[in-house]
Amino acid sequence: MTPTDIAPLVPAGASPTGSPQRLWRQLHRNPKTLVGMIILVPIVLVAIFAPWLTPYPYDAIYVGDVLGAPTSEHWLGTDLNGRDLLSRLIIGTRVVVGVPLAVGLLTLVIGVPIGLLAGYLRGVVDGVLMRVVDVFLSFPWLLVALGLAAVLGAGLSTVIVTLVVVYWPQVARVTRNSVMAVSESEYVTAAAAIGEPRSSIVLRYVLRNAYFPILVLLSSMLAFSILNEAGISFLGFGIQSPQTSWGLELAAGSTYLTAAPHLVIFPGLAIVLVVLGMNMFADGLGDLLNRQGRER
Amino acid sequence: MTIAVLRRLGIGALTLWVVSILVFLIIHHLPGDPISVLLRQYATPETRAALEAYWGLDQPLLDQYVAWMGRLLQGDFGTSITSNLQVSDILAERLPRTMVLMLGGLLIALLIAVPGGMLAASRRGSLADHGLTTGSLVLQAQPEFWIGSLLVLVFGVRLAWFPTSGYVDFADDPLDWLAHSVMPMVTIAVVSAGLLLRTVRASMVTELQQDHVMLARSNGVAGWRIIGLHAGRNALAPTITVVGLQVGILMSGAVITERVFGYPGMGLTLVNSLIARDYPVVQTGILVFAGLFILTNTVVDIVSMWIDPRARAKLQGGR
Amino acid sequence: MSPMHRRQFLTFAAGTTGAVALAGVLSACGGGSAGQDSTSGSTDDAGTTALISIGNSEGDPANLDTGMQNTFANLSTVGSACHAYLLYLGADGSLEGDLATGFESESDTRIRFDLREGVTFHNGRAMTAQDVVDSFERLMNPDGGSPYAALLSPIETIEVVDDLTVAFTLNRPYAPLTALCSQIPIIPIETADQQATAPVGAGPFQFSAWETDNYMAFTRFEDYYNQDYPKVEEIRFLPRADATALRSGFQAAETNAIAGFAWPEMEALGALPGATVGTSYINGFNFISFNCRVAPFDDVRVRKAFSLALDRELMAQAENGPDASPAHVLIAATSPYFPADLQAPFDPTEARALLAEAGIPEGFEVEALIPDLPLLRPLEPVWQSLMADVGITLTTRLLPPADYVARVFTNFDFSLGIAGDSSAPDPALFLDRYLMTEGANNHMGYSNTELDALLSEASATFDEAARADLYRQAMEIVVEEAPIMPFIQIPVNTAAYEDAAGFTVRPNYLFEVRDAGR
Repeated sequence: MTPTDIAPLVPAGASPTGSPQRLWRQLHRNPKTLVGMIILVPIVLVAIFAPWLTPYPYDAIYVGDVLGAPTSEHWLGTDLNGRDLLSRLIIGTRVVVGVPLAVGLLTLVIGVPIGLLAGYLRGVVDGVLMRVVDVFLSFPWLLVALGLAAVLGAGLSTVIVTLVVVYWPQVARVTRNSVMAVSESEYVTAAAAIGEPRSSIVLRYVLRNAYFPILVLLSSMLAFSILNEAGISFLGFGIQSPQTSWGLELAAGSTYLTAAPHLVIFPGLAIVLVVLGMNMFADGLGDLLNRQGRER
Repeated sequence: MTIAVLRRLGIGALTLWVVSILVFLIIHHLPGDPISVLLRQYATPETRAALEAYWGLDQPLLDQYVAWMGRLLQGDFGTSITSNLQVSDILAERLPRTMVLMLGGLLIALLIAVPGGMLAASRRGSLADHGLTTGSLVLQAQPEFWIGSLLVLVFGVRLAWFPTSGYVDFADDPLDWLAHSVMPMVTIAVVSAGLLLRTVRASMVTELQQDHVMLARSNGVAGWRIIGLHAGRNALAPTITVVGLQVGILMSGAVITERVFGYPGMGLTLVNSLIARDYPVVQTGILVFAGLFILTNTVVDIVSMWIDPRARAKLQGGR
Repeated sequence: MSPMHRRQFLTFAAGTTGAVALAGVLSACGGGSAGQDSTSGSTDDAGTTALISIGNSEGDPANLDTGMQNTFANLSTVGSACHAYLLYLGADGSLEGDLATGFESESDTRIRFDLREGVTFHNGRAMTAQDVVDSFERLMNPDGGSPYAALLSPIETIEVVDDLTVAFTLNRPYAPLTALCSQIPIIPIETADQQATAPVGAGPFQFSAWETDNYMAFTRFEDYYNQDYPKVEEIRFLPRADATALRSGFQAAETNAIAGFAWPEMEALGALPGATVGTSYINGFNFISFNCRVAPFDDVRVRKAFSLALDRELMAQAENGPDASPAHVLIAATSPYFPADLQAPFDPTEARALLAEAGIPEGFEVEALIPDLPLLRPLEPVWQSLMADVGITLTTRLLPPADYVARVFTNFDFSLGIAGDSSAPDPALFLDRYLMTEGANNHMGYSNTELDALLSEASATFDEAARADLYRQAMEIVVEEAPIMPFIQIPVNTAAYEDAAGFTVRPNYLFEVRDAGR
């Protein structure tokens, strides 16, 4: 799923003008962002300390029964090579956290400047850049994934590149729309009127006020990027052994659904949980954004 | 208005042309080639050269592109290198199936999303609202192939309500066609339903706060009339925009769903052809998908203009 | 629609258990390449099955002409149902008469086949001796692109002796010819151009419809030369490359038999009422092969070390479960030429010593390519851990099978990898392609004149004991120099309900379908 469908949900140019402290306070008060954080923070912590948390080495084969059901030694059972599923899911948190982080950063680095240019310069520049965005948006993401896997070889970095290719146009478009809305506001017009250089206006006002819609988009996007990773890995073009990810575990397990349902159920639940957490967080942010928009 | 529509169509055509160049270049620069795949380990330099000449693959890329475009504009979609079938036949057979799958999925998603979203918006802050919103977020967190596998396990194998895989033409047996299509459509619908539900809800919430709705309410117009007629119409435009943009997701969802259910649609063909580097099928297939996406969104933009004057203004301002 | 599906749907609609398969009323779902409607029109007598569906993990073939493209996907379907051959390869590996009633070696370079009388092709024309000649010559043409061209190259001429006799004249003695005859489809030559999309042959079933990625349907051929066969009115092959779709289709009784599922499902599928499961080992191998052109695998010590580090038993069990037995040589265990006592030793200590001697440092990293097939996936971690035990870091890369073939077999762009291949059951048909210096599949770039001489002599030797001895010597060289290391004969797990009893996989990957059913 691409965030093609998220962008219209994000109102352009509405931004809280408050301090980061205020934002933080709001995140705590909103039940959705709170639940989202309750789910996500432990997962991030697990990802950071993953190597110390695994009960068994994640790649050690035949530490338990082949396709063993959950037991007191192997809480989530074992896979086809007798590897401990819990340990593998714990190590997999690194992909779950790392892929969205990398994708998020890179899409910002690419999408925001392009969106800024289009939104601020308008005219021909905007026309050309937005057509480029349209072109990128018109490829189904899965085929982008397959094509890139063929060129670059399947693997973690290919997954990241794919998702950046798929997501940057969204960031660019939302940035542009926000910039357009914000730059029509009075204070920007005023700044231009007193002769402040354009670049300075962009940086000081526009960017600072447009960040919130981008943040909302980004957080939804990252949730989808986890599903994307799972889908790509399911088709065999994603993460490659000996690395592992929840999507890969789920894909591998689906071959043995009746013989070992735990191999499908646990990775699947893990994915649903983390994506739900991110969606909650994103949706809560969106609520804040809407409220701010109305207050202004 | 007419000029705006023409302009929008022109932009769509231009975008599609750029896509065609990109698709062509990317496909032809993938490592491997259709002849290697075709001949497998039995390739000899002679047979390879003969086949490359036959398919025109020994020509310069620009010539191949021009030839492809030229034939395409005359309505000749080419021939599959792997199966020797006409690409137009493949498209005619496969594309409608995938479209039906996507439309069916979309319909199911809307059947969940529209009433759900309206209900949630009209009872904002209630238990039902929270339940529906959270439910939509849960739906949106499901990987397609996991939902598909679970559906197969429960409704295909355990309960045996629906066939687990395969396809039957509507014309041959409508009931059986339906039985084969339900689970794939539901699989595709799940993720979209969550997002659409919240779109409908958000648009409705905004509309219900508009002055004319407030006025109607204070004038004692019945609740359902307000929701259905006054707010509903204006809330339609953003929903349609989101539906248009869903096409991209539905296509990717179809690829995975078709695989899980052994559903012989366009997605499966594209993946297999991409792996086989079957240039004519892949480049034309992707172009058609991209064209559909662009067309849908062009139509959506035009329809939005027609429904909602605000969108019209926005569109004339260059989107 | 298939009656099996209909039954399933009725169960749903009426809430009753449909125990009797409905009549095999079939309409070819339009749009496929074949198109013409066919109705078997048969009604069920008690105890007979109108239609059986077979789920095939190989997926859909690209091309139905088994002479021009011999993949598992088309051999198992078209090759099994539609075609007849000069000789019939039984499930036990024996060669029986098929379209030929017998053959006789008139000399080392001349073989005469006596043809069966009264054989009719699916297009209604009677088979003549000329058809046999034409069918072979179609594939012998070196520019024709047939994978059989090289294997048939020892044939000098084929002549029609009389209406029911053909004679092959060879340019050298060629022992594997008869085995090869179990895989060259005999077709009415006027249908050569349509074989890719609508095959015509003389087999037990005639092609009726192919809807790509959905099913391939064949109906009983009324004029099949053996009136005892086939046992069912119609047979369908359902391409189910996705493991879930393959397995659940059988569990839901939508398919009567499936082939190619993963071994852990064996128990659950075998426990289904009326189902039997089994494993067929075909005449082919999964093997690891090296690119002997490039360092470090141009050094025989390194290859030998990798071989010593490979616990073949563990690899075999990872691929097909605890009961799987390993392979050590590229000759099938059922072959009369199988050197039973020849094993490739497993000795990690010796492997380490050899690596050190070859100057390979501890922690040496190398990338192995693996075709992305579900059944090969469990091998990856096992192989990695075996190599880690001798200080080698093996990274692996899964490739779509087509990409794998292009990289490894066409461009030789690899260091080492896992692959699989099979042949009709004569050792020469596999060994000569892979191990001769000029062999068509010698992707390893391996060359050993002594081995070349042994293999040449073996394929020209008709005496079984003498031939076995030559192959034994050849295999000793291969074990010692390890350009290629087989670890298991390719297993195909099958499951069938009673109504498809008799369904098995034969050693050349053709399904046994004419005997399937009740």
